[in-house]
Amino acid sequence: MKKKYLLLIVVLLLSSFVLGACQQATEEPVEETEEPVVEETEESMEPEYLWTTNLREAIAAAIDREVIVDRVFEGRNVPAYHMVPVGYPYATQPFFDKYGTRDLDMAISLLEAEGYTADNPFVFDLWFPPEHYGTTTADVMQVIKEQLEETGLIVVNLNSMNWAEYVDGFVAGDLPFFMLGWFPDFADPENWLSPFASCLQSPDNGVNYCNEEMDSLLQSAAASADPAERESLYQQIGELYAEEVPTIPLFWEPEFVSYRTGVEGVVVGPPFEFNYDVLSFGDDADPASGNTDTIIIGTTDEVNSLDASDAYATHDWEIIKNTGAALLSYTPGTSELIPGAAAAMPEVSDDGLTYTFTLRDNLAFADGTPVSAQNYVDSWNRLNTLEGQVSGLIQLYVESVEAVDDLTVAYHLKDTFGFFPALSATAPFVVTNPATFVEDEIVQFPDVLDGIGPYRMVSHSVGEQMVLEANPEYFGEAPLIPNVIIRYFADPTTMSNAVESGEIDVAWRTLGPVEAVRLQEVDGVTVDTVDAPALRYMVFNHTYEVQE
Amino acid sequence: MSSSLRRFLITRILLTIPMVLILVTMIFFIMRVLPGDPIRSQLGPRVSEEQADALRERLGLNRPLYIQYFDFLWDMVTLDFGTALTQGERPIRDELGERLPATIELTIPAIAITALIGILSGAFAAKNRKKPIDYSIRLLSIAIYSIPIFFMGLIFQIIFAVRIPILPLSGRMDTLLLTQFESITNFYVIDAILTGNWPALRSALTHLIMPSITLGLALTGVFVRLTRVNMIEMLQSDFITAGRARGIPERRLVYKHALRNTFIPILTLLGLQFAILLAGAVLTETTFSWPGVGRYLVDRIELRDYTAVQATIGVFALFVALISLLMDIIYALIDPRIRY
Repeated sequence: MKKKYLLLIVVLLLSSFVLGACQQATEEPVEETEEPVVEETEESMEPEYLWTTNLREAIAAAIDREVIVDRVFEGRNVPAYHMVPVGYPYATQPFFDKYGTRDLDMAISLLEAEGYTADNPFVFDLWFPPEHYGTTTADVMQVIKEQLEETGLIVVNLNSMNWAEYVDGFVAGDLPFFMLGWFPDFADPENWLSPFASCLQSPDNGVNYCNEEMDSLLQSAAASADPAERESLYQQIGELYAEEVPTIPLFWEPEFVSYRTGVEGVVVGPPFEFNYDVLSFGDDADPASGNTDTIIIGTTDEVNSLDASDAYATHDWEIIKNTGAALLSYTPGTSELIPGAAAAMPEVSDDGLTYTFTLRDNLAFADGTPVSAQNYVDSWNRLNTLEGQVSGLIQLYVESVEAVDDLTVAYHLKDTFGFFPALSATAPFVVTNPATFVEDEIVQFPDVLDGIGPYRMVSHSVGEQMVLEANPEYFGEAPLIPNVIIRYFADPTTMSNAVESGEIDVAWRTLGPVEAVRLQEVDGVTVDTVDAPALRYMVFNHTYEVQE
Repeated sequence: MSSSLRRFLITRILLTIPMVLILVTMIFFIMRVLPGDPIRSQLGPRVSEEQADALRERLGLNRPLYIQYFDFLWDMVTLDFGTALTQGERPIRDELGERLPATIELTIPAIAITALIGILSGAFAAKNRKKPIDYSIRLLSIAIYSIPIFFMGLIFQIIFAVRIPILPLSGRMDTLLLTQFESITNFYVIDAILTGNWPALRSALTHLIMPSITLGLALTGVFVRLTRVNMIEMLQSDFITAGRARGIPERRLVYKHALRNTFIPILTLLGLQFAILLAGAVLTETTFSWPGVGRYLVDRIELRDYTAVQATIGVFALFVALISLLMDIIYALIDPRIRY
């Protein structure tokens, strides 16, 4: 009898292996067989690229974002008519201006001009990752397929593969047309445009787009520090973008923040910064911790690195900026730049290559060590030599850093970058405490964070919780709630139950739409929609060659 | 310990070495054959190809494969495991040191619940064969077995933590208590006892109730059926009939004599299930935000974190080998007929 059961177990295990293998097999890309042929001919003749301007415009014209947002997201997401989000500096809506919400006739005539007919339709592969951007991705792709095929001149083959493979695929240039997401590094249009449309940066995102006119406009706009000039340049860039269609913006994915009655000061504005120091408890509050000195914030994010010279993830930056202060900062809830660790806005040299910051004279790390300009030079040297994850972003722009005197630090740039103030408000511009962040090593999981911000981190148990306390040395006003505990959840549903049951006060990233809608019905819990700058967009691989 | 048992044990322990070696070698190569790499999986297109190469160089991923393989074997032998490649490049020994105790602390009560409920109700059903209670137990065991584990967890959460808040919803300990808690072994229950921190002990135990019941219940179905079938067979055997003829009370016959003799197949399954439990804990760990090793493993496979996956599976393998060894020893102890 027991043999029978053992046999049964073995059979079950084997069948699960086979099932797993089958599933893996179905996720495999179907193609990749024809490449050698193309390579042979490559040397003898000019490569013929698949995506002509007409085809890109036709696809841009055929997509209806309003329908996608309504059908898949019940109107929660915001249609994107440009790569730069509304509410941020110099945002325009060029795709709306050129194509309206949709222009099917334009799409059809463009396709006909390319010689496609109902009998000889334009056939291509559309790729997407099935899980990385949520399970709704497949629905979005299905709607796009339907919309494109409505022209009667297009046949779309939908394909998906898991994220790890997908990234390899598009970086290697194997995918002709695919979907991606973008979250900005700093709040300036430069960071929503150059990564996709500049000759230098677009290959990293699999776009491989290069156009001289676009490049020179992007460079001029990035170089200028004059708001009026930048506005006009970004207007032109927008128009050219809609004509050239390096990528197609689809929609902005909102985030949700949910908090219990009595929690006040939950403001997440355009630069997507959540400042813990302005949170407070009202009279009607019933804090999860049982006292008004401590607030508990839940998240499903994970800590990757708390070293400002290395960290390159949203949650890490949030912790670094709440326990530190970048040179510049934002008025909470707005994209208005204000002095942070610097006493005033920077002075720009006549050639636009040097930004000089005067530091506040009362800066000190939470352990009492005073901060001088030399600390900023040391922080830069660490970032530059240790080659952490974020170093590439900063090295793209900064040439060197110099301590002019104790309280004056000068950033020499590689070129004129008018957006440098926005960059200097990011986490890599938070000065690191040499007591923790030693010169020759990246310290991703420090025991404590004694920075210069409103809070200091006193303990961190990975995957469980992090404890922050008010920093006695902070130069600004003391936080309204002296203690913050970040609770790490594995699952958004559990986190939403936790805010409902009062185990946490605030449920922050990433509360999915399903949980947000459910929590809206719960008494004693408020749900706010946060306009996050998280873009979903379609990418044309501009150097994808016509396959025979 | 008899010399034959000692010889058996030594052979078994020695056999564990090639077993674990084959497994980790397979994992080493399978992980690398899979498309995708740790740099791109984590950072996507946010780093340029040159920077990705620099990161690969720093992490030692551009070294020849055989060198990586022998380094990895050496790391396993020295129980060093190296550092993870993603999510902060921490030493894997630290990561497992934090997470493995959490999983073990969850699986031990879970297996106890499985065994207790499964075996007792199986025996009870066998005793009342073909009576309504027998049918009810069998039906219920199949029903519970069919419910997805995370769904059962969610239902428990909604009932016992949200609607009737008598149990904590998630995590291993109350948030505020945890800020002051001194963890020595990362087994919170043990740590609380060692430090004499009674509120923490209470909190750790109450936090264990829902996840361990969820995980434990999910597997009871198999035990109910296995015990029942073996018991029915046992209850028809000659020595039970002889016992009945001698007037030994039925309860004693069932729960002492018959049940004891069905323990061999049950123990075999218990050993096997423990391995499944370790892996199955991932769903429970996710639902209850339990910072264990199951969840860790799945995350790291997604991220193609070669070193973390290799080390975790290696440790799992050692663990399972240890459990099955333990089972073999217990066989010999409970059944005098088994000789090694």
